[in-house]
Amino acid sequence: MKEKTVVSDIDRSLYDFRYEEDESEYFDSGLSKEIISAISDEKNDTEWMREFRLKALDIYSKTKMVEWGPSIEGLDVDNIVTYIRQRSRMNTDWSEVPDDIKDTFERLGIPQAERESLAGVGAQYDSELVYHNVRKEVAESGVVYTDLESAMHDEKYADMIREHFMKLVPPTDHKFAALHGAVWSGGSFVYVPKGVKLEIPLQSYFRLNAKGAGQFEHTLIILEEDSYLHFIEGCSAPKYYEAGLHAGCVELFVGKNATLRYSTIENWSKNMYNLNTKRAVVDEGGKIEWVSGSFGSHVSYLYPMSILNGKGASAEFTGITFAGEGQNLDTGAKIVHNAPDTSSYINTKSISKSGGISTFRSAVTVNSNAEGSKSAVNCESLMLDRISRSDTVPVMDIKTDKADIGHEAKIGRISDEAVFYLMSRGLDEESAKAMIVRGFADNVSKELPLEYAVEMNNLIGLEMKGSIG
Amino acid sequence: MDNKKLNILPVPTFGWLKVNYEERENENDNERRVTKLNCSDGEKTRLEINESAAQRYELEVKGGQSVEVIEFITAKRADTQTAIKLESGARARLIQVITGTERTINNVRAFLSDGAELEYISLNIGGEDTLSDINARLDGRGARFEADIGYKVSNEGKLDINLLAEHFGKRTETRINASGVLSEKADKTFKGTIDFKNGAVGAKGKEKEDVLLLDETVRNRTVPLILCAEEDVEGSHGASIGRIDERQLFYMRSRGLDEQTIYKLAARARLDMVIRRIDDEQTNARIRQILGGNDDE
Repeated sequence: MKEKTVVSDIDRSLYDFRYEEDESEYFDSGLSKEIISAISDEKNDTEWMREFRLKALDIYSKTKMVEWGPSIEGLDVDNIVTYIRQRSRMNTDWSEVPDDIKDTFERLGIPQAERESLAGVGAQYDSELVYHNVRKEVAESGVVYTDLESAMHDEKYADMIREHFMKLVPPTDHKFAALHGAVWSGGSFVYVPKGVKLEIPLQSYFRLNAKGAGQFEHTLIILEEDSYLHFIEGCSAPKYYEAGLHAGCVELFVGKNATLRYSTIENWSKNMYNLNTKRAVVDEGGKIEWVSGSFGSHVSYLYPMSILNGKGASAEFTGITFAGEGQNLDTGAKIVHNAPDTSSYINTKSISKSGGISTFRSAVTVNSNAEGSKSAVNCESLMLDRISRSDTVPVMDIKTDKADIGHEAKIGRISDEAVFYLMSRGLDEESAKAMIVRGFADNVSKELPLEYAVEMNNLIGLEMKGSIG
Repeated sequence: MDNKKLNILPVPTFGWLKVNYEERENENDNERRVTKLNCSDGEKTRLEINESAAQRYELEVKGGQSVEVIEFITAKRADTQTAIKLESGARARLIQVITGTERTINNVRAFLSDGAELEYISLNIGGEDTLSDINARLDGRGARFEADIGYKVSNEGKLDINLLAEHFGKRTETRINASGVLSEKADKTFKGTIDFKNGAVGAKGKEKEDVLLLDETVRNRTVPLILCAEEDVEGSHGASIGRIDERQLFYMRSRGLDEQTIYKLAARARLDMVIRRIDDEQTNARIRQILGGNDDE
């Protein structure tokens, strides 16, 4: 009898531990002007930010949910706690961080990664940063890596942040961008001065520990001319039965001839709604490289957008999505070519199993001023059983004749021919199929630093089991 | 007058791209004239659709029979439905030429039983505002659907094609080829969807579009969807949009052709790929006559 090859779900034991929360620190759930004002009071917001939050709340209440994408019926924002007061101030020394929080990040390997391979680390627990530090030599080079709120209150950066905050992703963009504008808290601010090339990455890790809560961190990165940065973002949460919400926002400003690599390993628990918005604007000759692994959450809407605004600017998006039981992951990328000679490349892989739904959704827009632009999109989907689903929904909108646009997509199962070939070279069926699936995911893992590639391989947890029938 | 939604994308996407549906005034509230097409095995039926009235053509092909229908749609404001039912082993060929119309709403629905084959060939030349919605439902085991679509849109013309191949039956196959050329403020959208339903074991679907853009005033939207709820299927789509590849240009220049001639030839070649599949001398002569006035080589 033939036994199906089984690819297990991602092993989440690493992420599913949790500590009990002191719920007296929770703000009331739901949204109201009073709650928003209380968040402003708590954070000692400037007047413009107070007004901004209230205006965003108004936009939120007037904006309809989009008419496409997975259902978010299970999410009741009125039951979501949008802010949890932190128990201690942000530290630059792990020994000062409360023990349970420190232990959480120890178990996630963050302090160890900081010691071994990072130029700086930010760690957010629920609504606020609990730790932020950057290596001395990095700080001396003029690089600023701190929490966004401290920077906003620092007169050196206050104007810069006001000039950039939610300018790329305005609250009018969509309903959850408006929600973010109203309740955002935490997140990182990075500034890389002209000519500074940071050889080792910075990492921010976002952990949502509280039950029935939301995380709304805001990441703002500004790269000046000729600079380089690799920024890594990690996210996880333990599993609860109550719906959780992540509606973060990432705004990236890439200067002339600068390069930003933004890597994300997202592993939210399967009760989470991940309605995140990421956007980059790239100046002349600049480059944005997205590396994205989506493994967790119950429902995801995630399409990092690159706006190529300067001549010769480029964008690369490399992504993998693994949708298992109970997951509906709608992911992809958006590119806007808005200057001559810009180029973009989207390369994605998706795997669906155990009833999981994965959708690749993309938009490549080439405006009439983007003469000489080039774009290539390549997406591949692998179906591992008959109860799952995989959809591909790309759009190319081209408004100039002087562009060269290519698109390729494939969907299918593990090829019998490939299995046969590998078996003829001495592998058993189980090992052959395992090798093919790992190879399928290889395009993302090879783009990550070694230690994160190993983490990703662990995350995928592709345990192959089978027999020849 | 009310608006109605037409050419609805099976899975909607980002609203700002304006590809989820088209809206037009609901002009034809009057009763639709229904014509049953009685085609004998091996017969070719020609339809001249030149009246601005709502029409519906119904074609049923018995098992093992083979028929061909050629529709020439030239009505100023055409609103045409063609419903095709193919019994087991039946074969049909539907050729639609839409030309010179002010507004066309064209709708094709086909149901394919076991082993049935439908060949759909469509040529869109010179319409001002054309909406074509084609749906082939491959119900039967081994049913096969082939679509070849050619278009030439210019002079502020608008063309929106929404093609959906639904695979229900086992070992069903679809092949979609679209190719065309845009110039002078043309606005074209091609939405091609291959939908593998659960149970369509062994189904295959392939889709390709090749668009040549001739000037900076055009707008092209290409939306190739693959929807998949079955493991054992093979689906692929590819698209190529833009100008002629530099290497091809170089090669043709080195053979003594100037750029204008090269583009004329390339534009014609994209339509010829579809025209040569029509295989009907009378229709081909008419098409040549229409095209000849514009870009006779």
